[in-house]
Amino acid sequence: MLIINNFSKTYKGGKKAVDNISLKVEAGDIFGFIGHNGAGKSTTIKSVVGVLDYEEGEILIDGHSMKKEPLICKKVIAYIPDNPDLYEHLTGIQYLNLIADIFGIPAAIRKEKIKKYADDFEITGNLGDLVSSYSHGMKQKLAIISAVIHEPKLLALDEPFVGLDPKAAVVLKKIMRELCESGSAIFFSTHVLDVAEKLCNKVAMIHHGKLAFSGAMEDMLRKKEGGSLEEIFMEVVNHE
Amino acid sequence: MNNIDVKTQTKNLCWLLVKNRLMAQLGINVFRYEKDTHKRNSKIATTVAIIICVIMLGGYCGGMAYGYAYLGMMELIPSTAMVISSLFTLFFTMFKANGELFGFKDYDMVLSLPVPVRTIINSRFLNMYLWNTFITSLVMFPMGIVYAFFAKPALGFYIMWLVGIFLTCLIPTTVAAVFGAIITAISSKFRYASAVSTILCIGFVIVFMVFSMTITTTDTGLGEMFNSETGDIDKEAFSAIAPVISDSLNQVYPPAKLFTKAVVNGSFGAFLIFAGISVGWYGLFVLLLSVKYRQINTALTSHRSRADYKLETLHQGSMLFALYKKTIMRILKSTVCATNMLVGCVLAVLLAIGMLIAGPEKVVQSLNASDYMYIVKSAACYVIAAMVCMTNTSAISLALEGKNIWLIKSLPISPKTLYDSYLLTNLTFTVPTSIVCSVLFSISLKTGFIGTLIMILTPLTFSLFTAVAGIFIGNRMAYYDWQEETQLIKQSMMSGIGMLGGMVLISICGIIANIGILPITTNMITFILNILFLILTAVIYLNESNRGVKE
Repeated sequence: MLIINNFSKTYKGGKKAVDNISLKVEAGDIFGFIGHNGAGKSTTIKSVVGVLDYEEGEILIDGHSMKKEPLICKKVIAYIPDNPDLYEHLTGIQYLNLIADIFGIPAAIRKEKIKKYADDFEITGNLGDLVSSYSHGMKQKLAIISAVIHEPKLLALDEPFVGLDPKAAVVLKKIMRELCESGSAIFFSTHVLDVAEKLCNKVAMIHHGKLAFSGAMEDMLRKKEGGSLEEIFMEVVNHE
Repeated sequence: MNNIDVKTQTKNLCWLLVKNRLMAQLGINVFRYEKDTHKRNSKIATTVAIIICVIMLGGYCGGMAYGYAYLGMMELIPSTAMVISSLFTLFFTMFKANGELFGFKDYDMVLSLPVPVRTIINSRFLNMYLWNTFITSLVMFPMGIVYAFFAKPALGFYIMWLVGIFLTCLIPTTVAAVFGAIITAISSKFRYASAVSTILCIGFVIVFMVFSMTITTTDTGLGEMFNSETGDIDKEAFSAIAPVISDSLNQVYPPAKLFTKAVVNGSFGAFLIFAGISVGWYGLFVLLLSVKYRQINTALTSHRSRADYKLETLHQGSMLFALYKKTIMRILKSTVCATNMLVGCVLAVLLAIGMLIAGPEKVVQSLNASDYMYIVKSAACYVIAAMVCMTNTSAISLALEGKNIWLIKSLPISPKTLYDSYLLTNLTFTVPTSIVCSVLFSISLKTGFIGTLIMILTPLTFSLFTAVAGIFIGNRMAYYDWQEETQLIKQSMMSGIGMLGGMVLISICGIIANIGILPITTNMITFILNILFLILTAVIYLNESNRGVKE
């Protein structure tokens, strides 16, 4: 579903944020992307979803190049940034309708999906309010609903659990699992290593822009007998 | 800590807040620390453009004062200087009241700091005062120099004029803040607060314009100011009309009378009354405001949340229409954006209605230019176009996405669809306005079939051209990391070029068509210009449609 080949990203001024990384996310995967602050996680995710342009390497979504066929790629992906800046001048339902219109979701299906997810997140009553009146967590919930109503083949999330209350975090994990069971792939960054360890079947660790590990979660945990993902992460970070 | 220490600390805190605000407004850190050369150069270019405007404003005011002095109307200089600077202050403050004095972005953060509320208010007013004093000095300094050069006044004039520069903006600042507070207080009670605020702001401007036009109207036509035989300026006629204009200016702004009396007659008493009223009024306002300041801001920053929405039937729409709806709502729900962007359309409609009610003959006659009615007829389409095309929302639409740009870039939206939505938004404002104004002008000027056709076609052509040119500008100059809309709307190059560029270009076309330098009729020149601009519009549109969204 997602193939990243020899991808590098250099910002203006010569700073190399990501240095020659390659990884593969397959349908049904919940792929965790971990690393310290400034390691290059967000840069990679933003490039995967087409927010950032890139010069080196290749990013393929469902077999299509994000660089050459961005519209085809974007039709099957959904992205939720770490800080969801949504259109604050719209109401929640207007925002969801905007996204649904962009993806061409028929009226009946969008109503069914919105109802299901908004009820799960308990924000149906707030959909008539302006987004500007929403708390960070509510914006996050709205962003998640807007991301999943078109059943994306690849869902890319940047720190999705930040700002969510415990109940909403459970709902999100349930949605992630349901999507994977229906054949979609999840690629998400997180600092919450316990969640990554329990939720993901695959994991990649990025350190100073370079890939320190990429593979199955079991293989990662096998690196340190009886150790947790957190302990392995700390070992990598401190081993400089 | 003793009282002196507390006072010193409070004073420093106030200055600290003002300094922080000035740094944000002037973008000093962009000059000093920005590594992105494109951003830095863009900031430098904007600053240079602002400096040029500042020099032009100063030069214009100095030139105006020189004109008065040349015509022997020197006593008009002080009151004119005061009225112009007060009007600048009034509009500048009123449109900035919401967001600068009330409901500002970092309100929660500032209020959580150990800073007294009075200090916060003082810092906000001090910031506004510094800007208004700067604008006042741009008007009064050159005019004062010209006055001093011609009138050769006593030493007292220099003292009073200089101190006057620092006092002039106090009253209009508070008057504007009161209006701004009333507008924001009323609008905050509505769900669509920004839309209500926009309507009230535009309404205020219209009422003010009608009011000032009513009380400054004189029966003396411009034609009477010139010698009918030689065509030279009649200085005596100008001197005779000076007291009438002076009275009108004093009617518009009564404190101008005191200031004029002080500097022209050397009356320190009048100056002290003027200073007392200015400072007293200002101090009283800040004192009263500090009592209710927290409540006003809380009301403004609190959002209405009903939480009683019930999901009903939803409708599917096209991607273009969805983006169009989003963009038009974005513009209309932002007071800063709507008031600045729509002012051209509003003025055009006002002019067209005024022309219809007063009649073109009266307007032309008052200019003593009855013989040139045919020029007025053929130039009218350019006047409409120039005013309407000041509304160039497409130039700023992309940049307006701001922090939301991630959505546009991550969603499957083709650049062409996005640009089309921006164009449609722009044309929603300009096309109906152009047609309405053209029809009203055609009726009042009694143009023939061809004249009416040209009258309608020209503003429409330029509306299309400027909207497409706006996309071209926006896609090259847009930036997304702005902090406040005011920065983008009032201080950015793309907004300036979008609003004024079209106006300048249309004016040049109007001059070429009407001064008779080409051996064909004005209507024919206008028609050819229309065709040329339509071709140019199509070329730019096709080129932009294939261009990606700016990084």
